[in-house]
Amino acid sequence: MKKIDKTLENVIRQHPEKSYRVLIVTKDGTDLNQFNIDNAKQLMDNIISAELKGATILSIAEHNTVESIELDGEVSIT
Amino acid sequence: MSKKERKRYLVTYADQDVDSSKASSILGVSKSKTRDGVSFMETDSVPKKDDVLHFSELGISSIELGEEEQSKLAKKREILAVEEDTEVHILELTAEEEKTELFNSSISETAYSGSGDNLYDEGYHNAMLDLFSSMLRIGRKGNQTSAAGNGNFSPVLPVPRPAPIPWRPPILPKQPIPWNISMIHAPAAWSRGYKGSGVKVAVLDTGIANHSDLTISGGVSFVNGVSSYDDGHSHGTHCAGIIGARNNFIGIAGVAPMSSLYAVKVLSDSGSGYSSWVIAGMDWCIQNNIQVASMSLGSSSAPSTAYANAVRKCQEAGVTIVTSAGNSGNSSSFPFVGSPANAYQRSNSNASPIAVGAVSQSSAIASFSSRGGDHSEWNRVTVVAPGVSVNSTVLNNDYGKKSGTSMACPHVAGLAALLYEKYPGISPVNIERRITATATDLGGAGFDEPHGYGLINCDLATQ
Repeated sequence: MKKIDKTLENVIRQHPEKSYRVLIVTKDGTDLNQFNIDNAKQLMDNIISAELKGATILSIAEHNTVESIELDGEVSIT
Repeated sequence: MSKKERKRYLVTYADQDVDSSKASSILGVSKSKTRDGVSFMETDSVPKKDDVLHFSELGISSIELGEEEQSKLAKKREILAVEEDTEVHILELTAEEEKTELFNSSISETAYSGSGDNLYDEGYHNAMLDLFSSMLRIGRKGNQTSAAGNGNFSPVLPVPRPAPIPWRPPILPKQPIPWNISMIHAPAAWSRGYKGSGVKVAVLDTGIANHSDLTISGGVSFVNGVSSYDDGHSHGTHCAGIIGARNNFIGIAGVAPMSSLYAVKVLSDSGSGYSSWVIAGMDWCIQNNIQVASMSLGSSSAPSTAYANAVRKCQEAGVTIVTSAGNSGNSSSFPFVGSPANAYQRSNSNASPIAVGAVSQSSAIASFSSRGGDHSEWNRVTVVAPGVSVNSTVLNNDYGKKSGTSMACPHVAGLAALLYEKYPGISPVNIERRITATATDLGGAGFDEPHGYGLINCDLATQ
């Protein structure tokens, strides 16, 4: 489970039924369609964003081609 | 029409090759009365009233006509113009006119004999005084003459004419160079010919508003539900001005005033957004051959794998990523360089952006400037740049001061643009090396936690 950001993993463990907005990073050259995510948005050739249930996130993290899953966190002006 | 009212006219034909015979036909005169103008005049003869002189080389005839005849002739299709043969005079000045001219010239020369503006103003002032006093003199003489009742108004001529005011280029105000631009020695790089010309710089921010000191080359919005890259906040417009405000005699000048600015709106008009919007903007930079991406944004978060990947992809594609270090310098909960500035991947320098901290006008580190990392696998502050009370472009075509590492970041993006111009095809890693190697060391000797490698120096970097 090291692929999932520690903070995110703790939250998912507590509330697997909830949806989370996440960024999924895969190894270069991975076919992103293999994850069958309906609402996924491809940001770069190996990064997608999607809103997924906690249980689905845990399932996707099992794929060998997944490098990391983290929260699509808020950013602001500095 | 009486004979007395007849005048001599010059008739110009529509067809320039009209010979004497054809001219007679058009004018409706006897061929015997149409003479070759040149040979006739060479004999010093005076033409009789019914003589027609024809100048075949010019396609012009000289003929004496009454007013009605002239009008009738002018309507003929074969004739271009019928003009009165007016008297002409020599263009030599009379002695009196010459005297006046000399007087006027002396005024004019006095105005330009020195290099100072005072002389010019004085000459102009004198000329105006002369003009008005001349006008008053004429007025007085005229009135006196009328009062005398002789009926003949005789102006005193020649009147000294006012000195002609030769054209001089308008004196434009100088472009104000803000302290922050001087502090990093950007004008020295400009004088060497490096102004960012031809370099594409993207500002990933709240957008860029239209401003007379900015030229926006294009842009895109990744904010949900917003299609325009216009700025409703002013943060992005401020950062854009620091990078590329034009050197145009108004407002301010940016570090790379000739660079091409692109507005990549990844933060809403409230000043916030999501990492996914930012990463989408970074991908757009790759797709659009952007050379420098200025990212004055972040969050107080640990290094993100997604950002490390996105930064690596950008820099491998030749897009130099410059980010603000963050404003959590005084924060006890997160006193570190924020994300995405802290992006890091072991053994891959392409995965880390140039992280920029802020200093004041006196080169003191800003209290808010983020510094350091939680452990070794964090990107640290690379360099510092001005970030306290920086004046730049804002909304409504105005200017305003802002503080933050957000303001420091675009200074470094501007320097990167100067370097792309000097070294076309240079890699992002070498851009960073050039910037750090030429930075002015601040704080402890060499690299130190709040200042990184020190204050950027555009002069040294472009030498």
